Amino acid sequence: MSGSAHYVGLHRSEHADDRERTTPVNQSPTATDTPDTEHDGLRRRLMAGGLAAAALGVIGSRTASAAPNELSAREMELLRFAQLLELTARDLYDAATAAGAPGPLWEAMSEQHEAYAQAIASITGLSATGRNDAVYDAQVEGFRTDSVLAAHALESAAAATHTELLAHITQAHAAEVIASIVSSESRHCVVLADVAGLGTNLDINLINSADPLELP
Amino acid sequence: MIRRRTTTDTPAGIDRRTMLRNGGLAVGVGALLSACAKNFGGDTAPGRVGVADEATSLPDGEINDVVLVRTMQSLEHSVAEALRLMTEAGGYSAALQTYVDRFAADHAANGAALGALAEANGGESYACPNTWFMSRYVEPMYGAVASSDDVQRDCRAATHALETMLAHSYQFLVGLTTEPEHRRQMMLLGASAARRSAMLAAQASAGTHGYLGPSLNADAPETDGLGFPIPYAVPSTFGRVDQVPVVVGAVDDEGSRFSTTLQTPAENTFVYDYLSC
Repeated sequence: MSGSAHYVGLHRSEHADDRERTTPVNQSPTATDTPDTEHDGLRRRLMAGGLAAAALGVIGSRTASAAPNELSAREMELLRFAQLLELTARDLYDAATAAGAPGPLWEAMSEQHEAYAQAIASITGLSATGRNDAVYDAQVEGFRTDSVLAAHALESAAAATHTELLAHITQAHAAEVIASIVSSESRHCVVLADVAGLGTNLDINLINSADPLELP
Repeated sequence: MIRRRTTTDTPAGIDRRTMLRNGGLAVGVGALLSACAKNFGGDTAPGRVGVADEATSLPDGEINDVVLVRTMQSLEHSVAEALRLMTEAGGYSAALQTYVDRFAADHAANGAALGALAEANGGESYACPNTWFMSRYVEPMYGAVASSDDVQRDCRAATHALETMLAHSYQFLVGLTTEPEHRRQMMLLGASAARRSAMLAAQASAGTHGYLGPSLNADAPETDGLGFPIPYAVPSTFGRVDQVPVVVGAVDDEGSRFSTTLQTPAENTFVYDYLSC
């Protein structure tokens, strides 16, 4: 176990073309949204951005991190993957809400995943837009018909994926942000199990049996 | 008109002016000589009074991944020990005891896994409670719980606080850990701690106050009518690393209960390489 990591990160500016920079962070993600949806979306994104900034401030204020280093192109790719997963989760919760899922809790979940995407945007400079269409298409029907169990499966997979991601991120601050998302999504799993009537099932609540998504 | 003294009033040889001049000259020359003198050695430490033993300073401790892993191992053992104490005190309902038994088994397994991780990286397993954490937090808290007016209420609150502290600690140490793989392994356990914390919170208060904490739900109170912190399954948007408030025990003569705040590990809590048990 080494006392200090050897960082081989590439300078961010050398890879500016690898990143999506055309859309401001808080811009609505799709051009087809109705005006009302755009307004709600902007409000939500502003809230999520504020939450993300506040949380990052709290996280950063307590840490005595290892020396910061730049993110490599590979790390940027992985963090973009994580960001798209969060945006996908947001869209899936929104789809469930549109299909009649109970409102406040689902809206809160959607906003939290939006905040996670914004937090990743703040450390990478990548705009929090788009989503992982493959995951969305595979999950959306489940969210529309049996949203609680579908959401539990998605949260479990997201937590497992982000945990796996930690093994590939050298920058301490990025790792801190991902770890905070893992912690929160693990809590989401417990809430969803409780909503599903499985709140006293120790195995379901305490063990994440989901496999991480395959990293790019 | 100024009247001068006659010289016949002063003894011959030393008058006041001469004494001042010669004395000042002697002091000045003495200061000059001592400033230019060689260092003749000798003890420069402040003098000591009494016969107490000489103070011995601790060895310098390096904070590395092994130290952080051993620290979390010690905290897992600390929480296991706290659960054992509260179990022996009959502090849990039958239903909650089922959870706590499982939690205790998980803490034992986590401690073993962390010990193996430390050894795999050239360190020594530290399979015992954290001395500092026990004396500062667990022992006073348990003392208050054991003499409480509602032991089961307090054991549930203390258990939730300890599991929450573990979750915060794992997450906090991610920022100090240098090897990415070690971060991953720590957060596997950190996620489990977050789940235990959320499960206890959901069972305790979701029916009354919901799942979302005050930062997410404006209608969610921080404390109940008696001043006890209300646990929430999702207290905030992001996982937290802040201190965890605990209020337990009976009301004392001043009308207050024992309260403390559990904190994530710091330099005085770390289990350095030179420590063993």
